[in-house]
Amino acid sequence: MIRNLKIWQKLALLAFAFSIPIAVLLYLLVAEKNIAINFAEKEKMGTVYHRPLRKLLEAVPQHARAAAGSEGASDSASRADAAIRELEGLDQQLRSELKTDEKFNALKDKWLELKSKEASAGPDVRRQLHADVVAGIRGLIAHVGDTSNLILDPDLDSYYVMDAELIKLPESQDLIAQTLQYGKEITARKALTPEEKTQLIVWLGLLRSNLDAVKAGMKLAIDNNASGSLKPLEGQVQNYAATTAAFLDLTDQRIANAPTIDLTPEEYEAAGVKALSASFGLWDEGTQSLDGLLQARIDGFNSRKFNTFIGVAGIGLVTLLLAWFIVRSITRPLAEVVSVANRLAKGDLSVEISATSTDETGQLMKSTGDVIAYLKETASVADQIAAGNLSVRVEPKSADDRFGTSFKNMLDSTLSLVQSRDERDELQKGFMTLLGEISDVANGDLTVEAEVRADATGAIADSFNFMIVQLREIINNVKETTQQVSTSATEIQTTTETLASGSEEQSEQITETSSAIEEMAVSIQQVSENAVLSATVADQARTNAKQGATAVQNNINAMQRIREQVQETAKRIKRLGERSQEIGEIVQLIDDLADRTSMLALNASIQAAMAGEAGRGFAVVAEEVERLADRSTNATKQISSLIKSIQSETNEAVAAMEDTTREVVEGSGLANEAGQALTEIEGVSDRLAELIQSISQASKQQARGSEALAKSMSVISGVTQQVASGSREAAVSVKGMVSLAETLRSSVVAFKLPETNGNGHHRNN
Amino acid sequence: MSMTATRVQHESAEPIELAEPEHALWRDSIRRRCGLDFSEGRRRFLSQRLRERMSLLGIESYGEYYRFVEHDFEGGREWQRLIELLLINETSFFRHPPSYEVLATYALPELMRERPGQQPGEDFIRMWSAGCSTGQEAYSMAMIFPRAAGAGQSWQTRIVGTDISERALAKARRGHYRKHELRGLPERFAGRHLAPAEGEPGVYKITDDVRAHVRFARFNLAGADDFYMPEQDVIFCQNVMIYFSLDSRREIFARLCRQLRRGGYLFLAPGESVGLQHPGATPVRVHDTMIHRRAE
Repeated sequence: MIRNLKIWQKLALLAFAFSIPIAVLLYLLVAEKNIAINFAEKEKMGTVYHRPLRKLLEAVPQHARAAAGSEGASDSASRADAAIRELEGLDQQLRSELKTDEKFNALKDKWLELKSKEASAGPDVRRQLHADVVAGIRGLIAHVGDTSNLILDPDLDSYYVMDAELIKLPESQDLIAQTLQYGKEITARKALTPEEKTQLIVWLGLLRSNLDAVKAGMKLAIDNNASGSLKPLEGQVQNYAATTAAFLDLTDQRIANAPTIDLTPEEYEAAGVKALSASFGLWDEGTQSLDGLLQARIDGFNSRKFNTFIGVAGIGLVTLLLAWFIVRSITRPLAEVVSVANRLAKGDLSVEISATSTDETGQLMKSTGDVIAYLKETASVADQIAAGNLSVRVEPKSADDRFGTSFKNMLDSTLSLVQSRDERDELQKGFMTLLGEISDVANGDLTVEAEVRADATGAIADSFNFMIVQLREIINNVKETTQQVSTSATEIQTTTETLASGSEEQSEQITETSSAIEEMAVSIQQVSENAVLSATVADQARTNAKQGATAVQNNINAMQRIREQVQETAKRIKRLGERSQEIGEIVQLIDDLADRTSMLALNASIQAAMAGEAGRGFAVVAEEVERLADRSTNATKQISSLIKSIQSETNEAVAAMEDTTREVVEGSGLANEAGQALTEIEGVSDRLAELIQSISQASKQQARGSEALAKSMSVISGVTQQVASGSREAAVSVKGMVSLAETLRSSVVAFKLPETNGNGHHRNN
Repeated sequence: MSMTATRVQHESAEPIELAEPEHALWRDSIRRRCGLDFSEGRRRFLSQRLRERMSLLGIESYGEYYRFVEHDFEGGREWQRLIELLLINETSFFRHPPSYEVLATYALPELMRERPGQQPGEDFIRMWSAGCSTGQEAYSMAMIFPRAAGAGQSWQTRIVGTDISERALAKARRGHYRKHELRGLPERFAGRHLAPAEGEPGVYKITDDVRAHVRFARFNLAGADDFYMPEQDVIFCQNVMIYFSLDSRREIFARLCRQLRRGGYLFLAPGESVGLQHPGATPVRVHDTMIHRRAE
C-alpha cells in the first residue's frame, strides 16, 4: 500500500510518525508542570487555612491568662469565636481538599466545652481545658500542613518559612503563653515551689532550643531565597529573637533562679505579651512571604508551561516549512522528468530539460537531457541517411551502446550491400519478386514454390524449394506421429489410471485385511492367555480334588474308628445289663431272707406271748425284727424296680448304639463314594489341563501362523503400494506425454500442405 | 533391470526388528500414554509401525525416534500421528451377533420393564460404544434398538461412540462405508438404513434416522482424561480390551462398571472377561452369552 502513495504522502507519513513522540513528550512536560502547579496551589490553600488558626492560637491563651469573667476574657473569647466562625466558613470550602472536618469539629467542640464549663471550673480544670484547645489548634495546624503538601515543600526557602510557620512558631507561642501564665501566677504569689521551678526550667530549655531553631531556619530561608523577597523578614526575626530572649532572661533570672521574687505580674506579662506579639508578627510576615513564594512558583511554572508550548509550536512550524521545501525540491523535478519522459515515450523529441540542482533528482534530469540529446542526434543522422546522404558516420557511445552499434551495423551493411544504385535496384527487384513468392511460407503455407531464375536469386529459390519439400515431409511425419502418440498415450493413460485406482483399492483392502489379521493375532493371544489362566484354574481344581479325597479318606478312617468304639461301648453296656440281672437275683435272695425273717419274727412273738410276762421283752424284740424284715422287703422292691428301669435303658442304649453303628456304616459308604467322585474329578481335571494345554499349543501355533500371514500381508501391501505409486507416476508421465504431443500437433497444424502429399514433389533443380 | 534391482534391495533391506532396550522404552512409554500393550507378542507389529513413521521422517534408529517423540518440540504432534498407526480399527456391523440378540431380547426389555414410570426425559436408554473405531458398533446398536422398543412406544435412545483415534472418529461421524465394510449387516437393516452415497460409486451412507441417535467423541479409555458422561444403561466394549495390558484391562473394566447405571448391562466380547471382576457388577449368562449387570 505504501508503494502506491505519492512521495509527498510518504514524507508526510514520515513527518507524522516523528511528530507522535514529540507530542507525547510535550504532553508529559505539560503534565509534569501541571502536577507542580497543583502541588503549590494546594500549599496555598494550607496557608489560607492557617490564618484564622493563628488568630485562635493568639486569642485562646489570652483568654486563659485573663481572669474568668473579666473584660479581657470576654474580649478574647469573642475574638476566638470570630476566628472559629471564620474557620468554619473556610472549612466548608476546603474540607474535601484538606480533610480537616473531623479535627476541626473536635476543636470546635472543645472550645464550646471550655466556654460552658469555665465559669464553674477551678483554676486547674480551667488550665487543662485551655491546654486541650491549644493542643487541638496545634494539631489542626500540623494536620493542614500534612494534607496541603506544605510539609513536602520542595524549595529550600519556602520549606524553612513553612517549617517556622507550621511547627516552630506555634510551638514557641504555646510555650511562651504557658510560661507566661505560670510565671504570672508565681509572681502574684511571690513564691516558687520546687515543682514549679523544674517545670519552668524545662519550658525555658524548650523555648531556647525552639528560638535557636527558628533563627537558624529563617537564616537558611533568607540565604537561599534567590528573589530576595524574604529580606523584610530579617527585621521581624531579629525583633522576635530579641523580645523572646528578653522574656527568657526575665523568667530565668527573676523567677526561676531568683533568690526572691520581686517582679510584678504586670511587668512580667508585658514582657511576655511583647514576645508573643513579636512571634505573631513574624508569623504574619512569614505567611505573607510564603504566599508570595508560592504564587511566584506557580507563576514560574505557568510561564514555563507557556514557553514550552510556544517553543514546541515554533519548532514544529519550522520543521513543517522545512519538510514542505524538501518535498517540493523532490517532487517538482520528478514531475518535470515524468512529463518529459511521457512526451519522449510518444516520440516527441522537441522537449528540453536541464538540471536545476546537483542532487539525485538533478542527476536524473541531466541523464534525461542526455538521452534526449542522443536521440536527437541519432534522429538527425537517420534523417540524413533518409535524404540519401550515406557519408554520415555513426560511432557508438560506448561498448554497451546497443542502439548505436545496431545503427552503425545497419549503416555499414547498407553501404557494403549497395555497391551501386543500378546493381542495388536490380537485386532489389529480384529479391522483391522472390519475397513475393515465398512470403506465404511465413504464414505456414507450404504449397508455394519459388521460380528459379538465372540471376542471383536463382540459387536461393532452388535451395528454398528444396527446403520446402523437406519441410513438407517433416511436417507430415510430425502430424502422423503425434496423432499416433496421442491415441496410444490416451489408451495407456486410461489403463494406468484404472491400474492405479485398482491397486489403491487393493491396497486399502489389504490394509483392512491386515487389521483383521492383526486383531486375530491379538485375539489368539488373548485365547492363549485365557488358556494359561484356565490351566491354572484346572490345576487348582485338581489340587483341591486331591485335598478333598485325602480329607474324605481321613473321614472314613475316623468313622471306622467311631464304629469300633461304639461297638465296644455297646458290649460294655450289655455286660452292665447282665450284671444288673445278677443284682436282681441277689435281691431276690435278700427278699426271701426277709420273708423268712418275718416268719421267724411271727413265730417268736407267738412264743413270747406264750411265755407270758417273762416273754414280754422278747415280744418287743420280735416285733422290731419283723419291722426290719418289712423294711428290707420294701427296699428290695425298690431295688428291683430300679434294676428293671436300668435294664430297659441299657436295652434302649444298645439299640441306639446299633442305630449309630448302622449310620456310621452308611456314612462311610457315602464318604467312600465322595472319595471316588473326587478321584474322578482329579482325573477329569488332568484331562482338562491336557486339553487346555493343547488349546494353548494350538493358539501359539495359530499366533505364529497369523504373524507369518501378517508379515506376508505387509510385503504384499508394500508391493501393492509400489504398484499403485508406480502406476500413478506412469499415469502422470503419460498425461505429460499426451500434452506434449498435443502441443507438438498444435504447433504444426498451422502448416498448410498440398493435397497430393508432399511426396510427389521433386527437387526442381 | 530396475525392477530386479528394486526387489533385491527390498529383500536385502530386511528390516531390523525392535530389540531391547529400545523395545522396553517404547512399550513402557506407550503403556503410560494410552494403556495399549506392546509386549513381546506385538513387538513385530510395533517395529513395523514405528519404521513406517521413521522412514517418512528419515530417522534411522528406534532410539532416536523415541527421543524425538519424547523430548522434541514437535514430539506431541508426532505422537498423534504414531498412535493412529498403532491402533487396529477392525470392526464390523453386528460383529458378535449373539450379543445383539441378547441386547434386543433381554437387556433392553429388562431395562424398559424396570423403568415403567416413564418420566419426561427418562424415556430414553443411554448406550455407549466404548472403543467404537469407525462406528459400525454404535450404528448397529442404533439399528437394533427399535426391535426392543416396539412399535407405538415412546422409548428413545442416545448412543455415544468413543475412540482414541481421530481418524477413525472422522470416518464414524461421516457414516460412509464401502461395500466390503458392510459385511455382517443383515439384509433387512441394509435395505432400511443405508443409501448409496452421492458421487461415490460403491459407497453407502448411514441414513439420518439412525445417525440422529448417535454421537461420537474422542476418549482415551485407559487415560486419566476427565470426560463427563452420564451413567449408561448399556455399554458395548468388544474386542477393545484385548489390546491392553492386564492392569489396564482391570482399570478399564472397573471404569466401565462404574459408568453403568444401576441395573445397566455391560457387553464384552466372549473370553474378554476372563480374570476380570468388580464388586458392583454381577456376571449374567443369557443364551450362552456372558454379560455383566450393575447391581441395583
